[in-house]
Amino acid sequence: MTDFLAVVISGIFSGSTYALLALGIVIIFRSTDTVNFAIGDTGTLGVFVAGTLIAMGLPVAAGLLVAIVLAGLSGVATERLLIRPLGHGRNVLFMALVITIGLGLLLHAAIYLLWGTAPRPFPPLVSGSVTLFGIVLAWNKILAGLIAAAAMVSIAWFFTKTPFGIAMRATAEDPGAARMIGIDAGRVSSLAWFVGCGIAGIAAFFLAADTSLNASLTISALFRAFAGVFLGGLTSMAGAVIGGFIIGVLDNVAGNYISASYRDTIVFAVIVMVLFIRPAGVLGSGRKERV
Amino acid sequence: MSTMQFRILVTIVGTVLALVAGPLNLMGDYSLFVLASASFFFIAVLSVNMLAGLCGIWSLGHTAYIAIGAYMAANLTKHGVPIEVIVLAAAAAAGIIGFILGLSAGRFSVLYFGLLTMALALVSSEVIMYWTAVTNGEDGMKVGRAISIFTQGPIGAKSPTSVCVILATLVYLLGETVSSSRFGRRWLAVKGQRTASMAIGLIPHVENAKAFGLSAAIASISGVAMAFSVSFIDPIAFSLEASITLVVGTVVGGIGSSLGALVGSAFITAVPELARDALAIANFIYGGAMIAVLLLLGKGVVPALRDKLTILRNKSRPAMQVQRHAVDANAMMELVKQLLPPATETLTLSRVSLQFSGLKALDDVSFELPPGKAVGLIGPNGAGKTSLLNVLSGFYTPVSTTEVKLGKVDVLAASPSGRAAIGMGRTFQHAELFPELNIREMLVMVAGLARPLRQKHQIEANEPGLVADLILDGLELKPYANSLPTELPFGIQKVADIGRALASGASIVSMDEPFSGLDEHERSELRAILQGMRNAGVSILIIDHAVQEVLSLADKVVVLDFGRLLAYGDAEEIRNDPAVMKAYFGSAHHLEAVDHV
Repeated sequence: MTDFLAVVISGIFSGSTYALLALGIVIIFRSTDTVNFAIGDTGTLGVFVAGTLIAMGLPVAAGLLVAIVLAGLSGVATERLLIRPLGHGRNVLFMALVITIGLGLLLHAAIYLLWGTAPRPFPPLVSGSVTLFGIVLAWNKILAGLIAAAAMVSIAWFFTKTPFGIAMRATAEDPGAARMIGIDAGRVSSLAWFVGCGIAGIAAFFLAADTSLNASLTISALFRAFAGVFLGGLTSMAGAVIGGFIIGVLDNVAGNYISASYRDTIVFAVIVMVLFIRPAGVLGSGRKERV
Repeated sequence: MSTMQFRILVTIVGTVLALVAGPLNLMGDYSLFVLASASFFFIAVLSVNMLAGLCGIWSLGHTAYIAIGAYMAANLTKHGVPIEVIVLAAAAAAGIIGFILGLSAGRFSVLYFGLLTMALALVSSEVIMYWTAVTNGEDGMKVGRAISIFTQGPIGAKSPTSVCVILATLVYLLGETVSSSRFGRRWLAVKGQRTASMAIGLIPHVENAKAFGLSAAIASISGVAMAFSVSFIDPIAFSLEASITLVVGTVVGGIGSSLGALVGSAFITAVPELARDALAIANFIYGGAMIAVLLLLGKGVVPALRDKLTILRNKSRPAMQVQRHAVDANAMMELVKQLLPPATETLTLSRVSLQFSGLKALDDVSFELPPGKAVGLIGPNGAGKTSLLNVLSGFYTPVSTTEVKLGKVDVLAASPSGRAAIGMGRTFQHAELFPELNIREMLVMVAGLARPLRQKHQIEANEPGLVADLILDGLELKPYANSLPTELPFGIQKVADIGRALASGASIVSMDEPFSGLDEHERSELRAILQGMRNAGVSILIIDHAVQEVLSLADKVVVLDFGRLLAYGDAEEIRNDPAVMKAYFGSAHHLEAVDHV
């Protein structure tokens, strides 16, 4: 039983990374109808710069901030330079999707060219571990979970309590009406890309601290984040977060009790089954499509 | 050059290349390798390209299907299975898996395909890594010489390249055939107008799944070609990155174009050869090329060049001036009689109620549409008119006490796509024609779907091409037969939309604001068309803001206000109903004053 509890708890902590990425994907999708496939690479780029600065003597906590801001700004630049020029035609949705795939390739290649292919060590924010109910947990993981939770809570607060957050939700619901009441759609998109990519920066930072700094840092986490988005629907922020946590636990339970080798396959099989049995997603929210 | 001539040319070039590479033995090892790579990349890019072009679905997981082909080739050859059988078996296996996955993702937006297929690529890498009995894991796998039915034994050492070229040529012809077949057109219809495609009886997710299955089958053939020509399977060929490379080839060459797939596959064959020592540089070029093409050209090298050529050619030709005769009611009646069975059943709506979380959009609305009659549905904005239409089309589900019957048939039990089969059709406020089909292609495709319905009712004119030509003639649309909807004035688009409803064999037609957006000439023509349809026995439900038009056409009029039935009677009663006037004006004016609201 304790074992199982340990597996679940550790799953929740891994899930916090997936939830963050999933939340970033949904925030960006809601604002500009773009599924950003480059979100992981954008975060990774931020963390590589932060890692270089940390190696030069920057405190690790300041490095986290650098990663967030850099990833966020790259997001803003992506939206301004690559997504907005596409305009609002029929095929924009797909073109935007493919452009972010191209951007992902570019960023991935740029990281290889600038930092080489060998993985680099990356310092955790805090070291050591603690034993709770007989479960050994690294402080770094706990802190990562707490920061993720704090990020999610402040995003929830931002979108439900602040005027600009509410304006952003309004824009996602009905861009035309939002423009009519004087909401600047451009600013809303920029901010959404900043927040979305910024939290991807947090996710990438802790992934690096957990393993090492390498260009493919976020690929398997991004896959799980997408799985979480599948469960919660592309437009629900709460759904994405819960979906991310569910995938974290599911993945860990499957990896420990079914097969350590076929983790991706099991997660994938579950998604396909969910899509067949409950097309509206596990969380049952309606799937609003804007296609 | 016509499409047919071009296909023949490609076939000849393919055959010559296959001869040069194989029996004639005129090529060196390196050129054989490059030719083989270009061929199997072409097959793979074409499979991704078709899917993007015909369905708008981007797959990031097609290497999974290529892997199926490659590993089946390696394993089956060991047991002496000939390559011809392997190609078919791999295509069948990949096709079935693709179809099932397509069914699961296809019910949502096509965006979900992107996510699902990315997952598929990662999963296939994992399976390849651990299912060592079949794949030999990370180390990769040697592939024996292909065995052919024709040679009754292993083929020659230089023949695999020939085989690749032959397969690529066959796949090209298959792709071209499917794209211009009724299947390709149905997929374009679903891609362009999901809602309208359901109204003519297509089930979008099933069509998406079929296309996905076909595309997967084609991709697996690329895997067979790759396995035999390289004679070693390296699992890296099936990574997510390799999948993305296929998307690069599609985007750079041009979406939805076989020639584009050829250019794209040449691109992704050449770049790694030129940037041999640095994979990162190749990826850099890929990413940059993809973004540059999308931002600067919009849709890839080949379509962009084609557009340029078309513009140049059209400049030298004076713009087409079309003199179009308006359709008159009698001609319309004759046309409809040839094409449709007269309606025989009454459409009965009883106690229709619709709720949107708290808001009652429709509240206990009941009325009848007798066969061959026209019922008008009017009411101020927000009265529930369009909601009612959407209930009839199956896009909204009303509360459970609602009953809608056509004769004895329960309409609500039929899916949105199933309602075409019981003879119900609709037209749209904004015409909603399929953007990538010209008018004739659209009519032929829809008439093809309606063929069983026509045969059931023993209508002689049931051959799709014939039906389409009758409609083009009868609705005076012949000059526009080869035009895309966007090239046509709005009024013509709306006439074409009515043509689509006729082609679908519907004898009960719901029309959403047929008069909106039309000028006086177009209105009077539409009046004639509707009268002709009704005289031929079609039941019509018209929803419109043009109250005068509705009152003069309809046998009975239903007035809705705030989701409730305010009045129901013949035009004269409605004209003088004080409650109706109050709903429109807030006071008892005469309805004659209302028009063009």
